[in-house]
Amino acid sequence: MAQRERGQVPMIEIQNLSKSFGPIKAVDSLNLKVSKGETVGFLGPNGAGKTTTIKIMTNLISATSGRAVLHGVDVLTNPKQALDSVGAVVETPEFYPFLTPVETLAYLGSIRGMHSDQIKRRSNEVLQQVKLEEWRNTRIGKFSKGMKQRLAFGQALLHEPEILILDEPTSGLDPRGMVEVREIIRQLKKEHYTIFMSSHLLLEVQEVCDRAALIDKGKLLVYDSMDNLKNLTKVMKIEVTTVSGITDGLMNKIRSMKNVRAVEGVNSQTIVVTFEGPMEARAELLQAIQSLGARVTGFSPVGLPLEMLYMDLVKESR
Amino acid sequence: MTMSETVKVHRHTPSDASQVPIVWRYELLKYLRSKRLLASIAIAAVVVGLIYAIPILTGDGYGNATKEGFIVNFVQFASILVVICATFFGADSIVGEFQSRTGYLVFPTPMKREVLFLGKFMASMTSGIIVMTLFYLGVGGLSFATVGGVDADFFASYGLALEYLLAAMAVAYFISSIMKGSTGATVLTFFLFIMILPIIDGISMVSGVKVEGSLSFAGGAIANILMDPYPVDEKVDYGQGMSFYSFYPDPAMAALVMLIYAVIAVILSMVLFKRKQLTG
Repeated sequence: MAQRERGQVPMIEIQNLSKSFGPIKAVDSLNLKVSKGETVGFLGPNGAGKTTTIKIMTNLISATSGRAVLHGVDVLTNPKQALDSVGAVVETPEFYPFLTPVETLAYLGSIRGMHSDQIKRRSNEVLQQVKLEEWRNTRIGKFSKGMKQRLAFGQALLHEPEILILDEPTSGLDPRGMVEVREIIRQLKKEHYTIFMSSHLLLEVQEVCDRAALIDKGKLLVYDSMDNLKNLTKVMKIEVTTVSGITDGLMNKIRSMKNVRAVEGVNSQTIVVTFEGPMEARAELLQAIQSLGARVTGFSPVGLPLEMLYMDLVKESR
Repeated sequence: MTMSETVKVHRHTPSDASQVPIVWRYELLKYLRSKRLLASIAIAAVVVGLIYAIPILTGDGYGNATKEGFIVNFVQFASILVVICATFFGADSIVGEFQSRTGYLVFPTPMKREVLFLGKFMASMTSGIIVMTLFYLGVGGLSFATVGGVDADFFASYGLALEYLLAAMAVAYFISSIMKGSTGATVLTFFLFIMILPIIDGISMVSGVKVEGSLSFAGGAIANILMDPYPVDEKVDYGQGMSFYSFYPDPAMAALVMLIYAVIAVILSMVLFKRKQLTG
């Protein structure tokens, strides 16, 4: 197969997209562009508007205004053509319980215009990929939530779409299943699929995605490359370990220092300092703690930069 | 095998007209697998068996039975069988996609909701037609075996039964498209035809107002068409201003009423299905 090419061609273009449920604005003038071959994480707290946006993009709900253009076609005005090049997993879909995975894939493949030999070949491949080969002829009614989620992933890949839209793709999976799905996404990324995925799991997004968009209350807070987002992080947690031990007095003195937001004791020798400031200020903090007589043996950031940024931006927007 | 080692899938999304039979085929498969089709056929077979056996068990037998009299006994059950089919194959067809979340699977595909609707409706109708045809074949076979043939209006009754099925199925789809739960849609469909509409018909017998627009009243033509001569409306006075009316639907009017119900209900339910959002 010819590898998909990466480029600046926008595969997904969301323009002034809004969706209101009565007085509540679930999505508020959202603008977003995903170039060909990019993997973009879509982050936000519960109720931020992630799933609503994805539901609009996949023709599950209508928009109040705006456009959602997939591969050059507005899904709101021409969903059939727009969704032709899309594979989607939205929430944990339910399958028809009386059909088997092979029959379900044949149904969806036929709807998409695949020939029977293509369906057979691709069904074998995707069922192998999502590790459901041995269940291929078992009725889906007997499947666990995790198995259904893997099958949902399989059906999204069946027709080798240009764009993959994934809403919480590892939701409902056990740790092993989550790792496997991440591996599949990495593989698809290597093949330059355009992937747009929402997730609560910041580590997942940080590991897998090229860019991330953070939204809250339906509004886009930030959208940038992972590297730039990490640099945007103003707040960080630093774990400080001493050999001399941590006293309450020392903790109170650290709390009163410039740029320190909070201090939590981990054990008698370790504390975690929540800190806001540039690299120079971090060096000053270390010096200040040492000047208080603490014999510091460890001074390192903990937690994910993206998590820090996420918490920071979401807090600011509320 | 990784995806990069595979051959790219070449495909063209089928036309709307080509997608309808695909949906139809898999919906029918679902009815077969879920045993709903089998259950409906079993109900029809048991009822036909019981109606046939009762005169024999009571000792009356079929010695003096006419073709008309023999078949009317069975065909009176046809309208109830239509309601069972509409309930089994139509009541949860639309709402089920939303409540059981299968819409998350089929709505993000390149297929218009109208296409999905038509495929589903055709599958529901096909299942209903299979049941009704087997019922009429069974009744016809028994009639041949017992009284040596079928009534002249037997096929007219069959035609009206299929039209009643079309109208009832359309109404079931309409209920399915406005309800939020499968159970509610199923219960409402069944009781609408078995209880609510017959109560309205019953009131007309007392009030003297012929409700030609009632679907269940129109369904009465399925059995009435077999009667020779066709029964006419009558009024019986009980004195003291009390009267009781017996109304019979005109077959042509009944056919028209059924058709109007079918067309309006199909259009409305298709529009509602298209507009319905998967928010849950």
